[in-house]
Amino acid sequence: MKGEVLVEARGLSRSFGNKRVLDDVSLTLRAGEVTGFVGANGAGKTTTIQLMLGLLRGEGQTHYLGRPLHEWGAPGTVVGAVLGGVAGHSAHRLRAHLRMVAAGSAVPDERVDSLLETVGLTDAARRKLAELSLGMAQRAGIAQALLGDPPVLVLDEPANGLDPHSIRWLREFLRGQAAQGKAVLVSSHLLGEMEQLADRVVVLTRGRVVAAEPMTEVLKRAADRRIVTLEAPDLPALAKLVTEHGGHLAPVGGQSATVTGLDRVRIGTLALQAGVPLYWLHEGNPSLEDFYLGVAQEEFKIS
Amino acid sequence: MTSGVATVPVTVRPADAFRRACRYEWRHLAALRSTWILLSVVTVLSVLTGITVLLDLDKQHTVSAVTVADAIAWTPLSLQIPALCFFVLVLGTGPVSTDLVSGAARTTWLTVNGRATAYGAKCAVGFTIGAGTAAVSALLGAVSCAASLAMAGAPQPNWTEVLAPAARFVVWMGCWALLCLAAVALLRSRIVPVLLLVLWPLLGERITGALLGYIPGLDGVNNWLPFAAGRAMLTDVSAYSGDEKPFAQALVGSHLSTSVAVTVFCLYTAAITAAGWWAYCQRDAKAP
Repeated sequence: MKGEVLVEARGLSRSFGNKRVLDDVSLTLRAGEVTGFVGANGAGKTTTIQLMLGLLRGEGQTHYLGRPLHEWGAPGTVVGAVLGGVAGHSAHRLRAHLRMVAAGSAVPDERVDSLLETVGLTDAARRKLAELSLGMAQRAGIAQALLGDPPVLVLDEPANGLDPHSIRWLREFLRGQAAQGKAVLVSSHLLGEMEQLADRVVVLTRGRVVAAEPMTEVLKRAADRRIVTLEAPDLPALAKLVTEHGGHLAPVGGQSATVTGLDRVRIGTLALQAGVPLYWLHEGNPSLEDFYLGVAQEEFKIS
Repeated sequence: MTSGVATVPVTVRPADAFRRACRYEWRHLAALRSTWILLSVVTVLSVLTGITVLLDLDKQHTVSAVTVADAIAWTPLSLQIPALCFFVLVLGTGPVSTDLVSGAARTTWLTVNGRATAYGAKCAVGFTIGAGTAAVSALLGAVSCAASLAMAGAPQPNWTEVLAPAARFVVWMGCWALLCLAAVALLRSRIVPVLLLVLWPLLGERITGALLGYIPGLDGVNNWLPFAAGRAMLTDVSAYSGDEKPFAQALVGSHLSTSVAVTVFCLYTAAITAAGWWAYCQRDAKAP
């Protein structure tokens, strides 16, 4: 049923020596939804996913449909994971590799050919894994993840190495999987892609979740972080004025500066009332990327 | 876009999960061309076993059961381990090294039910392939010997006396496959375990045994070392006649009886396989 919680990860933490790389990360994946898992390189996305799948040891718990993954006895029928293409013996041919995985999940061999067709790799079925291009390996990984027809899909940076045509295919494919009632988690640092794909977004910064909300809310919050670019001959006077009214002015060179926390109408009115001249004003709506970077910057300042 | 309902998974019992894992491991090996090339070479060499017996026949005019047993077990007396070990080494080390060294563990662990099930299946399939290959090879070797002796007009050996050594050879090769995969799990490498498994029985253990002999109170320990027990398991020195016996005893390097040697070698195998299980289950999957 759409919205039903299929995956519940709680308190995931991991340290390497004294360094805490993941700190109390919690995630919820719901049926029929695509959850975007965004963060900069090294933020801990892959570590989180590996902990959720039991590939790494750490603290915390992840329940799939109410139980730990190992209690199901057949992980491939519960969660399909795409972690950087396809992992297998380099001399295995693609069809043979997928049939091996099918045997491990008690899936009939016929499903292998059907999935190869779905991901557009029928012609590559006899290629060795070592001979697959990056894009082909990603598609092969998706076929492997779908073999057991699991209700949960987890994809770590699936767009890496894909051309724009394949990225569009992937987006439509994942939306289709969510429409079938699956819970889909997609990690990425390509935030623009998430705007078009995800229903919910979880932002990870330096091993901590700093935002987790529906995409509509994220875009709304991003809109509240509008940035005003202006040009004025007396930036110190304008900076004092802006600060007094809760904004922040940052010079960017010459007579130009950016202002956050106040919109252009308010800045123009305040400047007029204070007699501070303005040459130019421009207000831009930040992208999801600007929003994410803003959240990340705040987090860095706090810590 | 309409909303559908995803398939709800069913719980799989541990026994079924293990069966699936075994099928997964078998397909892992069966999908490799190198597996079939190796098995083909083993088959051809097994069929040629009769020729080696005929070479002995030229000197002795008759051939004893113990000579035939040594021939169909791939001459463990002179080589210190059966030559078949060098072929099974490739098949035995492959499944764990693909997981831990080549980074395919995440596929295995997310397909079969976790690390313990995966390792158990690797052991079961590895032992079966090692022992099965030895059994088929011994059978082909025996048929080849019988045919060669018949064609040469020589008398047949007492085949009932060949059965017990052949059975011990089959068990030995199964154990060898377990040692191969456990060594890879412990050392997380493929090259090092291969070198270790080749050099230790031939040189390392002999040197260790000699050095241990110098330590007061440890005289005789070399009889109980793993591959000394393994050699005593494969070669029943008591079956050799007078003048051959001291030479055979020197090559075996252990005074254990075959029944005790079987127990000791199997216990060593079980201990090392258990250590491999611990190491395999402790390892994390390689990051993508």
